[in-house]
Amino acid sequence: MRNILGGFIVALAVILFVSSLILIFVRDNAQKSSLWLEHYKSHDSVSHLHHAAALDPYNPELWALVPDSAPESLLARRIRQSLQRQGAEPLSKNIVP
Amino acid sequence: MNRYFFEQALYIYAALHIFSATLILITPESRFITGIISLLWALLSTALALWLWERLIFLARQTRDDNRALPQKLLAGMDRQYIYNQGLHALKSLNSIVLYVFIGGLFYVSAALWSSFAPVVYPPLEKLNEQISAYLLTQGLAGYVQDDYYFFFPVAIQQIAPLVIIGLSFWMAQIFTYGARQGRMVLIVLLGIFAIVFLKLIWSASDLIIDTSRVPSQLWQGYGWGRIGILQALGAAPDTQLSAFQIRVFETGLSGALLSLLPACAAFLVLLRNVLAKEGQVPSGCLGFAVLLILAYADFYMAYNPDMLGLWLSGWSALSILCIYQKQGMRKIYRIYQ
Repeated sequence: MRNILGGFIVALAVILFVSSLILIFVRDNAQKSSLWLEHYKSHDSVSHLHHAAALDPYNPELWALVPDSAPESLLARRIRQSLQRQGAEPLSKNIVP
Repeated sequence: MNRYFFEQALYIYAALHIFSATLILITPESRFITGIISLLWALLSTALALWLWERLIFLARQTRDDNRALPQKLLAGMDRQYIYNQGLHALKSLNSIVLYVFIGGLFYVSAALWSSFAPVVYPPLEKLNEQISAYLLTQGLAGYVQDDYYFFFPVAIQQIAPLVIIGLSFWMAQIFTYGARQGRMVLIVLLGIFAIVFLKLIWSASDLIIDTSRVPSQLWQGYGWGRIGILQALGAAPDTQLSAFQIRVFETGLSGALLSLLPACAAFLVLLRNVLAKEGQVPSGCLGFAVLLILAYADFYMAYNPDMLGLWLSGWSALSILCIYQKQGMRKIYRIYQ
């Protein structure tokens, strides 16, 4: 049992070491998606929005940008209201086509 | 690596606990901070694991190549000081208590990974994807495929790393208690950190007991790790403060949330056995029950706060020491009659 448990602990230590390096040096998709959204806001290019959606379609900032005229507008409105309740900044851009 | 390393590692371990708790309390939650804390714990645990491995090899060699005559063997076995100086007491940390807690944690991680690999998809979430896709199509971008999106790996690492830190710290607390002269000193440090973090959590909490009634009773498979914000925004989860246990129910399902209680059950049973088996164990057993009770209260009834990692880290490490069955009051005295 000692050898099995010892091996398991060594494996855990190695996993933690690799995880720590990933956590320090690699951005997660949500962070990357937010960066693309920032680019979108500053450059006004929809392809940036596309990258943001591909990386993290569940990013609430992204939903807030989707126009009310799109299908399921009720849902979009609910999300926007929820975000505003949470203290999100009001949208500076109107991207309704 | 020699015994001096081990004695010094004890102080590094205590300092690392203080450093981690301070960092968790004073900085906002971020991947970078979690990464720094993980890195430091990984370095210490790797060094200690290698040291212990060396002890295992030493012990195996001693027993395999022992060609001495029986009297010499007996004398060597009686030499407690020799066993202590070679760090062989630390091997007791590879015991069944650690095994039970690790297996319990492994069950929880397996359930959570299962939920995250194949999550339940909340219908409005699917519609939202279609909505984004439709909008991008109107902009002339047809390449968007929602299946390309794969966030599982980085989110899983962010969730697993704290659990591994707690597990390794649990094991290291035992190694020092068994093997180092000042091992019990760590318990005072850990309980001090535990009390400070708990008081800070109480101080910053708006409600000491939050509403925990809204938990889905049929959700055996969860929506996946890291999705509680989305679920709250969509109205699938209550848009109020949630406890850590409630969040686990939504993210990992009831199966994951119930399995996450297994390590606590194992610790409870070990403490109960200790208290019932020996009168001398009652004080440390009661202290262990108090720590377990506070951990359970914070988990079930306090609104989740990232600072809780400090509470879990110090609390589980203290529990690890309190779970040890102390053999007191009897000492073997070997005497050689000529």
